Amino acid sequence: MNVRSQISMVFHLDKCIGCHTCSIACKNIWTDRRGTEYMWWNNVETKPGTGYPAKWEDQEKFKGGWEKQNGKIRLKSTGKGRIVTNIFHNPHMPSMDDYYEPWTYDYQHLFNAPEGPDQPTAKPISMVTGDYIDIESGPNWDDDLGGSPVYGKNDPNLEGLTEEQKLQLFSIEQLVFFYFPRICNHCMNPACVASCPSGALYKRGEDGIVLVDQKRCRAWRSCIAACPYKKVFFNWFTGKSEKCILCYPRLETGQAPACFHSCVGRIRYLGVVLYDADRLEAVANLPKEQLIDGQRDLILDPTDEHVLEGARKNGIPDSVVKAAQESPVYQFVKVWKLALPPHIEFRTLPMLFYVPPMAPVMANRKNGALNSVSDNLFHDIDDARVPMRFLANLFGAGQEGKVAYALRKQKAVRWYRRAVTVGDVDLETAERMLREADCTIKEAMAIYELTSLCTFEQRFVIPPMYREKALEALRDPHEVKQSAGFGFLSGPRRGM
Amino acid sequence: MAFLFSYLDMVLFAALPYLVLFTFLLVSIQRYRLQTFSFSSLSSQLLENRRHFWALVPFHYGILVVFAGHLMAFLIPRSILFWNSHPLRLYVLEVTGLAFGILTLVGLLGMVARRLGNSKLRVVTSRADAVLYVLLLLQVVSGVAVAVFQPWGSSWFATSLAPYLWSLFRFQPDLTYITGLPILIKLHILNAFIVVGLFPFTRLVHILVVPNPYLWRKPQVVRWYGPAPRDIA
Amino acid sequence: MHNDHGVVVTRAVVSARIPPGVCIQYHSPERTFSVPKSPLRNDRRAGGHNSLTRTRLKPNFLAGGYGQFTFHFNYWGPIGCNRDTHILVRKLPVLKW
Repeated sequence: MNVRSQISMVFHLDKCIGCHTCSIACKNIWTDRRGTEYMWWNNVETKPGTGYPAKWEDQEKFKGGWEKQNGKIRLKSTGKGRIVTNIFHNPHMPSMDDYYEPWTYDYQHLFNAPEGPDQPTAKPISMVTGDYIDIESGPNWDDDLGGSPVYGKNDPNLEGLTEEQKLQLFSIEQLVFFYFPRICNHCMNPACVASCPSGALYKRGEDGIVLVDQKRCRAWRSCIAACPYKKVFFNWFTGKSEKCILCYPRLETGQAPACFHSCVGRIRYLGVVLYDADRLEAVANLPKEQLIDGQRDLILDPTDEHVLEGARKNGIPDSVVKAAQESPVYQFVKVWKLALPPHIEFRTLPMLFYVPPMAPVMANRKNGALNSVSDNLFHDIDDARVPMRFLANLFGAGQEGKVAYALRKQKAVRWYRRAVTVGDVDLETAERMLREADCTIKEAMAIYELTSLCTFEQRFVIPPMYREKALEALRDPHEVKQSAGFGFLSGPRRGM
Repeated sequence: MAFLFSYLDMVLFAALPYLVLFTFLLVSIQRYRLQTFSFSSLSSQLLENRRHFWALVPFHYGILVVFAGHLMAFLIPRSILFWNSHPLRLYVLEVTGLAFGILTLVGLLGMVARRLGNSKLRVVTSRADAVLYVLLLLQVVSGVAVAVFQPWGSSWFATSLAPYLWSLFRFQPDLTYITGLPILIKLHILNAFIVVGLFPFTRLVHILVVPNPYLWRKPQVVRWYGPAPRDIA
Repeated sequence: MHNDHGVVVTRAVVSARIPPGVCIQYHSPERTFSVPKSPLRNDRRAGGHNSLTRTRLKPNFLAGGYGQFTFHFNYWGPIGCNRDTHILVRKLPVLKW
């Protein structure tokens, strides 16, 4: 056993209201620089929709992630043999048109316009060239199902749905959508890291955060194509790749990342999990159906004696182990099995997990009325408004069972709490539901507490990271005082 | 007059090479030490993806083969001469060289056209890039012209240029090999020196950082700040 | 969008959420940015937010050059404009600033 610690995340989609506050918090801190205007390290997508960049989930188009070949896994886009031939032109790299051309408005014109018959208006101008542009798309062009005949209909997750289900998904008073906030998953088996010809991308050993070494990046662009979630971006101005850094400067000082901190719906949880790095390769190589269980299995029980011993042997501080024991992520992912990885079939083993949304599932209409009474207590999940197939494509690697399990448990907890607080559901039925959903009363209360009443400290269990010790051992902190940007002694400028 | 020319030859072919080589080494090393961040190919594929393929791929493959040809003639002139002793093999070599030279030229013209024809790319084209494009165009055009108008270059390179270059590296520049060469070839050589001299100031430095351990390293890269536990993955 | 009352030029999107034959405008872009001119108004700028609906004016509304009625939906009123009316929607043939 090779115990490693990793900062891991859970997004509770049932609580997401799609307000984009997270995206704005991130944008204002990290990507308001020249060359990064088009980047959204954190973005919120409407599902069904094509997302950002458009159709990022379609790996036939972008060739991201890993694939199984001859019993081993290899990168889909940049096998080692192809690295040389793809270095001049990466055939799978998205261009700016796949994201959008960032723009602002020519506000100065409002002050400088000559006298005329009309009041002046500020025309849109490109933030790349400064020329007038006709805006054709934006980071959330399909927000709230806008343009659904073009965007929603082309969602790659609709694969495997019957025509009837698709029709229902886009017909008035039947349709359904939910929000899907995304940041870098800080995967256990990151494809971006594995694809970098320069070795510029790396995973931090102590906390598993995936970063781009700005000084070693040479703009070979492999990472952008290799990341199946399209969460590595190319800064066209500095000629370097950039990505979500999980706000490590904030984490190292005990603060939650900006997108987590600002989340209005309090959907975000962050904590440490311990995992076994020895079995990583074997798990990434499992058949598609076993990937979710395999990854859960990889996450170790932080109270187990053997694990504790392994952690001590690998030099993981006791404070980090303690944080792992209190981690909300561990509860959601491993104990309650409520949170599922997005598209684990890409085999990068993402460490950001999603609690599948309940809201679009409930309230199924039958004969014009809300249908809520039945002998089968979970009937509305089985024939839900959002086809289970769709959620399973997104979160279950195609397995409906995994998603259904999480939804049934969520519903059971809700009904149990309703029986306790409102009383219009009888307690006996609620307890039966809990039993059928593989949940105890104690567990239900814990889920309820961490979902509804959670405090800041419960949501974000940030371990002390001892980086000051590590850094001071290497160099004098005063050395980089008042240096620019990411901490260079010279500013991060383009070329020489 | 003749004296003036020989003096010019001395400056351009005996002094300049050392000047550019010195600049190349000094600036490259200092830039890598002080401006590591600036080492990048500064790819513009994100801004323009379609013509990128048709320009960049022919150019790079063309120039790689042509450069390899020059290098071989410099390193193993005798083997090249031996190879060329048979006319058919000489033709094969000449035609291959010319074909890849033209491929380079086509790619380079495509690159320039791409830069000029796209407003986004003009934003990321610096003055150094413009100078570089002019120099490279001059170099490739003169190279192709040499291949066409001064044929059998693989042989005369081996007999006259290789010894000259070697004499440079022995710090005993021997100009007798090149004083009599046609002006076209001299231009090609001279421009090559200028490109080498300006190399470390331009985006060409990405060539220096191409060799990388990717093909040998383990797929995943993990960096530890403290002492690393067993290194396994 | 236009009817007998006036013209509004704005960005429109087709969505499965809106039934056929209905359009909803629930954000009011300021006409100070990104509002082109309309040929239906003889190439004058369109986009006054109350253009399509009727407003009852009281004498004290007449102060201030009517700016309060063109800047935002029912800018003077107690709430945003939520009146229904009949309109025609068509694509702007040429973009004219």
